[in-house]
Formats: sequence, C-alpha cells, structure tokens
Amino acid sequence: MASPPAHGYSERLPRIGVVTFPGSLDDRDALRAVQLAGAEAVPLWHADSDLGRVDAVVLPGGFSYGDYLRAGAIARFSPVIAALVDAARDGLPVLGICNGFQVLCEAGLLPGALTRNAGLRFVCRDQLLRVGTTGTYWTREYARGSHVLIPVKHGDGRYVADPATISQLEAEDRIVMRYAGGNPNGSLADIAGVCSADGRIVGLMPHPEHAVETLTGPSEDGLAMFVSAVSTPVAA
Amino acid sequence: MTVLPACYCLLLPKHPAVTHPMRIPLLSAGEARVRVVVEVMLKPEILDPQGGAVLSALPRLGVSGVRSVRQGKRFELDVDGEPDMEQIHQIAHGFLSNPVIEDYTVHLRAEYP
Repeated sequence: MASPPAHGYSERLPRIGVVTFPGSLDDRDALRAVQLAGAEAVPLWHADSDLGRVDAVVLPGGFSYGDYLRAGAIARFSPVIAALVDAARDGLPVLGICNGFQVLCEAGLLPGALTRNAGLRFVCRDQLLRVGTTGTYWTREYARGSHVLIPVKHGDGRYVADPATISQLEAEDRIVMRYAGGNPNGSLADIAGVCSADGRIVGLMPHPEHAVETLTGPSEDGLAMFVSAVSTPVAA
Repeated sequence: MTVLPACYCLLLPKHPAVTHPMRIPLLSAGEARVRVVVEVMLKPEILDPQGGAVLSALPRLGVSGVRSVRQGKRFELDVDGEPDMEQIHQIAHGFLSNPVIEDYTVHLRAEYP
C-alpha cells in the first residue's frame, strides 16, 4: 500500500472547471492560472448542464450575454449555472471573478449585488488589496492583513447590500478582500470580494488570473488563489 | 396600428378590460391585445450615478429647478390572451429586476391593431 504523498495532498490532481459563456473574456487566462497552480484545467460550456465531474469551478470575467438586462442576469439562467447552483448548494467550491462574481450574486449564491461604478467610468488598473478572511477554499494560501496587487477592470463593480447584510458579513468574517489605496468603484466598506458562510464560494471583482506571472501581470499575487484550491485535499 | 398613449385604466375607466381586468379573452376576441408594462427602478437608497449625471447636465441645457433624476428601465411584454399575472410577477421579480437593488411595478394596457 502506497504511503501518502509527503506534502500531504491527495495524489489525484484536482480537476477545476472554467465556464465559457458567450461574451466571456478571461476564460483562457483562468484555465492557464489553474494549470500553473498545478490542477487539471477543464473547459466547461455554458450550454452544457454537465459539470464534467470537476472538484471546483471558476466563473471567469467578461461580459456574458453582452451584460444585457444586468451584468450576470442572463448567464444566471444558463444550463451550466442551473447545474452549478445545485452542485454549489451541495458543497462544490466556486470562484467567481468579476462577471463571475456578478453571476454568483444574481444566482443568490452570494449576498448583495454589483452596480454601476460610482464614478461611471470603466476602471482598468493594478489595484492594491488587503486580504481579509483566509478561511476559505480559495484564500487559505494568503496571509490575513497582507497586501496584494491584482488588476481590476470593470464598469459594474460597486458592491452593495443592505446594512444588515454588510454587518453580518463583517461579523461572520466573510469579506475576502478589500480595496486598499483607493476604492475604484464606490463599493460599500471597500469590499472587493465576499464568500459564502461555509467559505466554499468566493466572489471578487479583481482578476487574480491576470496576476500569475510577472511577464504579463503586475505581480504573481493572484496565483495563491488557485494554489489554495489545489492544496485542498480532494476525494480520490 | 393605434396604441393608446397612456395606461388605459385612466383613459377608459369603463372599458370592460378595466371593469373585468382578468377577462382578457373579451379583448383578444375583439380587436385589442394586452401589453404588459414592467417598470424597474433602483431602490431609493441605492446610489444612481447615471441619474446623477443626467441631473448635473441639466443646468448646461439652461434647465433649473429639477431636484433629482433617477434612471430606470421599462419592459413591454406583448401577451397572447389573458396574462397570467402570477407568472408576470415571477418574471418581473426574479428576472427583469434584481430584488436586492431594484423595485418594479406592473401595469396592463390595451393595444388595438
């Protein structure tokens, strides 16, 4: 009988799916980030209700269905999201980035909503963030309170929720990242990302998949988000 | 095609579709069809920077005295036969609006071909 691997991880590589919607932009970068983190990257298609036996799913950035109606509002009713909502309620970890965060809020998997930037401008810049909770599936490789540099690029990124929800998120330590060095969109409490009560579902506006190599990004600070998922044991 | 210019419950208070609002087959058997109008507005406490931008442009047009502008959305749904109001509210609440940030209203009007 083989002894467990020295690093304590499962021997099987985790399979992490990345969904492509019509209008997705960052699915390729997300697939690449998943691979760089050491997982098996599994492309998923919006019209499929089969999640391909993945261990986790990334909803990437972009403008799914042209952002018509509201950002994420039409994607939320796609076959893949219908399957994902069921699976997520049963514990499947999900990371929603930018448009993916908007979809998770529209689908009711995360509280709150993303609205038009307070300054009305599309903001595209390298953004300093302060790490909040590290007790999630996607942030355990970060150090609480540390600062990371990760790009933002969005026009609808102002996080809003009613005061009771914001208080609850603070009290339950469910704010994953906050904007530091200037709030780019007017988000309440400088919130850049939040998580579900069990920490398995995370949504954030900044793009960790664009900060995995210094060749193309401002830092490698985003890689830890995908490594966090890989360092989580999976069922063999 | 003649479209009534406003909500017909105001203009034609004795129209059968108003006095018996759920008996739409009366209309579809005649010459009118029903248009369902859903209007969606951001909740009052939600910042509306687009409305704010419109407001701040008004002085440049020489307009004064407007205190506030809020921008919303209007959806027009043409329905065959009698609208299923339960279904309409389901669409308006869970799809056309996001209840976290928006409120909606529904009203019906007749459209004569």
